Amino acid sequence: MTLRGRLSFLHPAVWLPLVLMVIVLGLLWQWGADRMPYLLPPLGDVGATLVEDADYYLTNALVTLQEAVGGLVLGGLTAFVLAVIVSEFTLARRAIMPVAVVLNVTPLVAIAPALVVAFGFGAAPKLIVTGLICFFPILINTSVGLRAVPLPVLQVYRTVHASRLETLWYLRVPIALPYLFAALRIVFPLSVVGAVVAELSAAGSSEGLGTAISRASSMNQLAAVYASIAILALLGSLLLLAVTVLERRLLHWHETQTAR
Amino acid sequence: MSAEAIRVDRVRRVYPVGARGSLVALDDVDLTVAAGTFVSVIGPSGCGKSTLLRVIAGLEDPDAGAVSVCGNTPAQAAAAKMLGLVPQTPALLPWLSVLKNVSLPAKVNRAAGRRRRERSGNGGPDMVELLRKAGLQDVMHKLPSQISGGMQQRAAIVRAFGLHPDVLLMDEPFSALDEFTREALQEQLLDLWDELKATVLFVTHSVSEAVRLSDKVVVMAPRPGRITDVLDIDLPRPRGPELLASAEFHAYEDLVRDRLRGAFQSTAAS
Repeated sequence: MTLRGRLSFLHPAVWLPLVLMVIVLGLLWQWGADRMPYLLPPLGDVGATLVEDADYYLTNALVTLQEAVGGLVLGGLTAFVLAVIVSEFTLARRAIMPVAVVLNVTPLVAIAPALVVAFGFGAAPKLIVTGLICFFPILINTSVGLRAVPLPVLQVYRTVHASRLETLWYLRVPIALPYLFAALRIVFPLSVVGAVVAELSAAGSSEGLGTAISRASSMNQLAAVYASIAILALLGSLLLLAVTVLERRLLHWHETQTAR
Repeated sequence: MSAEAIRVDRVRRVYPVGARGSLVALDDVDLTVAAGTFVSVIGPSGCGKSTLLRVIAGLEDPDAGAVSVCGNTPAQAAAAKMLGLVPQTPALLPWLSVLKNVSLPAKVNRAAGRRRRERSGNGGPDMVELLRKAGLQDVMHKLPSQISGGMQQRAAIVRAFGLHPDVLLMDEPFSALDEFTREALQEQLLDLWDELKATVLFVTHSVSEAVRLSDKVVVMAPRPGRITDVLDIDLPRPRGPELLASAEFHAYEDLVRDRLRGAFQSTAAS
C-alpha cells in the first residue's frame, strides 16, 4: 500500500460516516432500552455479560465456529468435486443438477429437525446442515466457471492434443477460481447461519452460540441473547475477512483485484 | 516425409442453418501446400477461409473429402504435436506470465514432445531465446494484461513457434492491431519463419499482408465457399519495409485485388 493509501485511511471522510452511524444507532438503542426494558437490554448490560462471562462465550463461539468451518469444508469439497464431474460429463450433469436444485429450494430450517432426529444431538447434523447451505452456491458457480474457458484458448490447446486432465488442471480450474471465490464470499458468512440453525433445531444440544441464545431467551436473559448475537455477527465478519484476504492473494491477476 | 505439408482433397463442409436450410462453407475444396512454404488464404467474409483452417487443424471434421497433414490425419498430427495454432485473439492465460504462457504447450502432451525431440535430435525449445528474438525479453515476467495488444499477439506467435511445429496455422492474427504494429509484426513473423522453417497457412483479409508474407496466395469466394485462384508471389526475400513501396509489390496487390473482385462477381452471377 502506498503512503497516500495509508494516510487516506485516517482521513475523516473515510471513517467519520461509519462512526456517526454507530453513535446514532447506539443512542436509538439506549432510547429504546429505556422505554421497553423487556424488549431491549441496555448496551451496558450486554457489555457487562460479555466481560464477566468471557470464557462461556468464547467456548460456545469456538464450538459454533468449528461447526461452521467443518460444514464449509465438507460442503465445499463435495460441491467442488461434483462441479468437476458435472462439467466433464453431460450424463452426470443431467442426473445430478436437478437433485441439487431440489435440495437447494427445500427450506433448510425444515430439514434441520429431521436431521437431528436421524443423527442425534452431536456434531453430525450441524455439519450436514452447514454443509448443505454452503453446497449449492459453490456447485453452481464452480461448474459455470469450469466451462468458461474462451474457445480460442481451448482450440490452441486442442491442436497440441492436451488431455482432458491437462485441460482441466491448466485451463479450467484456474479460470473457475474467480467464480469459486464469488461463491465463497457468500458461503463463508452463511456457514455461521447454517451452524446456528442446526443448533436451534437440536433442543437438547449443550454447546454453541445458537444453543446459548435459545437457553438465555427461555430464561429471559436478554443481555446474554444479544451478547451471543453480537459474537455471531463478529464471527460472520471475520469469516468474510478471511475469504477476502485469501482472494487477494490467489487472484491478484484477476481484474476484480487489479481495478480499484 | 512427403514434400506436401498439407493436402486438402475435395473437402466439403456444410453447416445447418435454421430448421431446413444449410450453408455450404466449403464446396469440393482442393489445396496442396508444399513443405516450408508460406501460403495465405484471402477472401471476403463467409468464404470459408476460417473453416478451412479449422478443418486442417482437426478442430472440425469435413462432411466429405479428406485432409492430410504431412501424411497424417489432422487428429494424428495434433497428437504428434505437428501443429501450431495462432487464433484471432492472443488467447493468453491471464494468470500466467508471458514466459509461462508460451511454455505451457510444452507441458501438455509431453510424450509426443519427447518423441519429436528424439527424432529431430535437438533439445527442448528455448522459449527465453525465442522471446528475445520477438523483442519480448523485457516483459516476459509480466502478466498479459500488463503488456500491449501487439505484444500479446507476438507472445501468441512465439507460443505456436515454440513447439517447432511442422505446420503453423494462423487465423487473421493481426486483424485487431493498428497498421504500424501490424507491419512490424509481419516483419518479425517473417524473421521467425525464416529461421524455424515451418509451413505456414495464414488466413487474412488484407491484400497487402497476403502479398508481403506469402509464396502463394489462395483466393476464395463465398456461397458456396470455394477456391477461385491460386497466385504465385514471385518477390525476393527478405521482404523488408522498402519492398512495400516498390512497383512489383503494387502490381501483385492489384492482381490479388482484381481476382478478389472476380470472386465477388462470380458469386453475384451464380
